[in-house]
Amino acid sequence: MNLCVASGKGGTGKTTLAVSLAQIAPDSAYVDCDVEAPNGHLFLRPSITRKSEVTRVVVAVDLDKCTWCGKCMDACAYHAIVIAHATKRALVFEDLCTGCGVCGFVCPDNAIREEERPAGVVTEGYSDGIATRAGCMNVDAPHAHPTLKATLEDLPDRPLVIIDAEPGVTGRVVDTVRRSDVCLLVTEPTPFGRHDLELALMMTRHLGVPSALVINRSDIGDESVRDFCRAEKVPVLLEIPFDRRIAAGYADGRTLLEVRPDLRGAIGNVLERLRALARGKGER
Amino acid sequence: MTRQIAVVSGKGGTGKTSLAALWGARNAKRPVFVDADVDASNLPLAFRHTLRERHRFIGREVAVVDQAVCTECGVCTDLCRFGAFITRENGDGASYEVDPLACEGCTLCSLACPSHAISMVPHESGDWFVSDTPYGPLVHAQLSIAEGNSGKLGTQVRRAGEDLAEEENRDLILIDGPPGIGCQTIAALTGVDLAVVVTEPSASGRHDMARVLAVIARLGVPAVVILNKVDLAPAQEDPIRLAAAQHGADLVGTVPFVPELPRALAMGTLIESPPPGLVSAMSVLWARIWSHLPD
Repeated sequence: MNLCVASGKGGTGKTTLAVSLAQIAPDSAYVDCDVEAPNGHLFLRPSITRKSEVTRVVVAVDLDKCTWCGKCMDACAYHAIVIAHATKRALVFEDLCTGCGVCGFVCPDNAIREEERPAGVVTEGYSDGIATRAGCMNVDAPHAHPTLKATLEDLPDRPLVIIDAEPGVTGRVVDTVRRSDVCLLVTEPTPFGRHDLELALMMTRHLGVPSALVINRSDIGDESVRDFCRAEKVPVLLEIPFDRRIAAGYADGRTLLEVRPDLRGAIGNVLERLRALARGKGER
Repeated sequence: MTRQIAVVSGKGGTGKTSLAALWGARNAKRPVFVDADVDASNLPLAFRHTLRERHRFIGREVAVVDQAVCTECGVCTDLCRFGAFITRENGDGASYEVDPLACEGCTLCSLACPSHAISMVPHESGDWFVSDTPYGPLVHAQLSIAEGNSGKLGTQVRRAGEDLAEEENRDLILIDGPPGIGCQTIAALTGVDLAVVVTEPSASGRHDMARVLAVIARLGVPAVVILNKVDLAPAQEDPIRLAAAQHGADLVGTVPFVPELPRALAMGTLIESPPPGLVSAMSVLWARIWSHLPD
């Protein structure tokens, strides 16, 4: 089963829940897909067994072949190439280049070549019995999606794969949730949490991925998240009240279950109910 | 001269939006607010606001196949680098359709199609808005779900904010940025006078702060760091100060953990009567932020 942990809003406790779920299930895998800000490794502290570089394609102009006709510049939808006929210069803005191949297609002189640039790293390893994988985009890369794509490729062959998504509801999150049998949404009961939960729920419903909720720091804020869940018939699997011990443990990179082993049963129950939701989807 | 300050964090949920709202409404003089988190826009929730303008956002053109002209040769799907073509087998052949969400609008298929069956059409990928708040105008946006062009929409709200500042003679643009370090964050930070990185006292907060500071440095923007909710883990302050300094940024102050803040936000009283303990901290910090603005 692929179980995605997502949220509209950032900082609601996705990683906290995802790591806890990975820790209670035997033979699980944990895949960190928040490639802009991956944090799962700070809690699982895996021993790394493999590091793979992720690259992206950018173009370069071969000045020996270029006749400065400018067709590539005119065809590029991203304004990533400038050809100066008068001074016989060619400039590629690599941050704008998507590697789409249009320039090479229109070039009459075969003067466009493709090169690879580093975009990120995917690391794999083990943390106790958990197989871990994490995508991390480079801080000097312009886009996150090449790294996400590589992270989602050939997911680990484990009975339970926990996928920790990035916040929001962009195409990248959709690509992540789409790979999942069931989605756990983590939110907090505030106006921001409520607003972004609504977006996240629209997304999971649109994708046909069954979803349920954990309300974290459940005693801050107001009732609007609970009212919303009742109205929308979203199952709330667990509420975790604010606890300074959890916050302090989190600060030091200690997992929820290390700080609050008494929650083991409750997290196990969340996992069982998510399994049931995923099975229900299979039966429909 | 109009100054631009962007509030970012790397990690989500550190308090960017609440602090930006408080600074803008209580401490700044005549600001324009820009919510550059176009994916999960929350700044409008912090204020009473009324919608002034709504604009559709057309971020790109996408390819469309004219099925009446298509000869089902498959050149388009072979060439597309983004996997945007959906192929449907039908008896002895296949039909090809474009998934507009996967199409990056590069036009390669339309140029390569031997039967000229593919055209490019404008694609709406969200809306952007101008609203009025009691504290100044607010530009915000909503990217449609599953869209990827968040950087372009972020740039659009930035431009609209600059136009408003000029029209209404306002000398500060306060930008509430998204979490992360990707194209949307880059769009929020490009060309600003100062980046304010709001972090939290945790290993994650420090890790993601360091990543966003690296992006900020690459963009050539000066930065300061604010440590929010400091008393949840006071021992984190020194490592965060050190990590910030290693990336060329000063930790200029801290904000206490205020458990009443979410409720004040929910009750709509956050701006007019913030929880005690927050008011003086916010004024002091704003003065320090302002003193770090380059001349």
